[in-house]
Amino acid sequence: MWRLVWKNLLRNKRRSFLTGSSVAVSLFLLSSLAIVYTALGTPLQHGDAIPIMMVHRAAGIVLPMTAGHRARIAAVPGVVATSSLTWFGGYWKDPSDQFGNFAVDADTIFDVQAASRIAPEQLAAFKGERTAAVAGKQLADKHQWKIGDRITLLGSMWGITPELTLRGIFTGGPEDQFWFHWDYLNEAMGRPNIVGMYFIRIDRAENAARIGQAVDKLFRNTDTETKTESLNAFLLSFVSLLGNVRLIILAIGSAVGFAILLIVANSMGMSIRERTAEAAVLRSLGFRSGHILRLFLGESLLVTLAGALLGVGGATLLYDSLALSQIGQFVFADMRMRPETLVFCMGVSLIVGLAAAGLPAYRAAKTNIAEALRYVG
Amino acid sequence: MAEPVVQISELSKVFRRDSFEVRALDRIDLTVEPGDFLCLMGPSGSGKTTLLNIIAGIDRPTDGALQVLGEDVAEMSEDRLAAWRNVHIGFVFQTFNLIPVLTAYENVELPLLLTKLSGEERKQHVLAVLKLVGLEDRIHHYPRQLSGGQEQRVAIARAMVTDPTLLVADEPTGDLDAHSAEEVLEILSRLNTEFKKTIIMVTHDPRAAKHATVTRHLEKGQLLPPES
Repeated sequence: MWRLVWKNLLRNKRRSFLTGSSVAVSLFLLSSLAIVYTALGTPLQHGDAIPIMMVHRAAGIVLPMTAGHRARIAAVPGVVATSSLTWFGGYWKDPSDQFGNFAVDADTIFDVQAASRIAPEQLAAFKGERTAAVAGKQLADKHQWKIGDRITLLGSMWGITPELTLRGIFTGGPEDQFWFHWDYLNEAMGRPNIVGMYFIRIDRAENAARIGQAVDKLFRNTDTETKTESLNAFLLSFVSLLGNVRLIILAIGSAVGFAILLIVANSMGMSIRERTAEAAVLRSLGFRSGHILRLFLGESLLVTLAGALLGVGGATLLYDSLALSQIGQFVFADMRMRPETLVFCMGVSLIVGLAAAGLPAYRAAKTNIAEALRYVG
Repeated sequence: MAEPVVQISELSKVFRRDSFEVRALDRIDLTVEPGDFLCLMGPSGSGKTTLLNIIAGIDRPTDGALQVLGEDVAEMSEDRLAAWRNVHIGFVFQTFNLIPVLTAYENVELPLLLTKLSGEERKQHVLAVLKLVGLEDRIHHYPRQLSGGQEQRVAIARAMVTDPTLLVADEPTGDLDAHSAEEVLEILSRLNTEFKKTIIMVTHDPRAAKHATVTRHLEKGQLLPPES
């Protein structure tokens, strides 16, 4: 029976090839969309074994906080280390080459980001020089930076261009980030004494709710009310700003899925209609309706699954090998083919294969044999 | 006396299309005995193919009684009917109806795929019937590589490969030149005389009818009395 399915598939090679190719391209697109969709909904957890919380303005994460808050936050029981983080948003040479660059409190950033490791002499050099900077290994490798390289950050909304010297390369944690001294930024801006947010490392993850409430209570009924949340929750809330993007991706993905269905349905519909009489001949020889259904559905499934293997396989190879996290920054950092995405895409191809051939195959299997023979004859 | 292969009584077939009603067969009575080579003749639209299809179990009567090989074919479920056709009926069509992507061997093997025969047993059956129709040297040829006469011989081999009791042929020489037609008719005659197959053949061709042992005429859906 499978031999017949295979031979029928090769009956019109061009049509089978074009149908399979259409499915492959469509499934590649669908896989890409699914990967981005999943990456947007699942932020990377830097050093998730270490309980880290974020303190930012309750009114919005883009609003600045007062630099003087750090000491008050550090005094809350359960807070092990505190550091500030200010988004700089510059680029190095190429405006399209965006990466996370932050002004940080050099003395404490590695206490909070304990998942990041740096050689002691490099850390000392970073702390001891106001124009020093450190980069994650992934980022440094990408730009082929070496210790001692001069790096000028351009194009920031802050209106300054820090000229920095790379003094260290850290591994672990957010390896796609670049950190320099907040003091330098603050001085260059005329000492406004503001920071973007605070990072706090707490003693135990299960104390997160209590510590968060305690920190927020410090600033309740002030001009700078805070919202303290876990790093993961923070990243999720950040991603939620992209909620509409996910909706758009979902809509495009649905359209792509529907387009595949139409392509395969059209192709299989034509192919099966052309063979209505052949199906009738087979039935006259003793083949049952179930045999005919399996024959046509098998063909459709073979085409769609072959296309899906190419499309989904191509997407898997592309996203897993190109390390796209380097261009995506932390919200896109996990852009790879996950098992559930793979299952989803193959499931779509399976459904498309069955749905596309279902109706014409059913008709061919159920039409009165004598009528079907006359159909062609 | 052996049980008739086909026993039909008061059989009618009415086709309905929208508000139109066409009576294709009108109260037919017919008996086909084992070993008969029955030729059904008549003008186009007389109902001969419809009668053949009903006897072979690929169409159902509107009214009347129908027994084929002792079975009430009209009452069988679709799946049971399919299995019954596989075992008892061999079909030969006017347009051969071979599967173009399969070789002669594979076309003939098709009905055997539904049996429990092993690959080797299937091979023996297929080669035997292809030899019977004189095409043992064409087993790997595709239908497009065969002449019309050869295609029809492959179709006869396919019809015979399950060793059915009843062979039904609908205008088997209709698409053939005179020489090929004669070859096909010779094979059918041989199947009838040497292998004792009961054959029902529909044809327009008076020359074809000469090979039959019984000839009946249909006209406007009615079976005319046998010629004396």
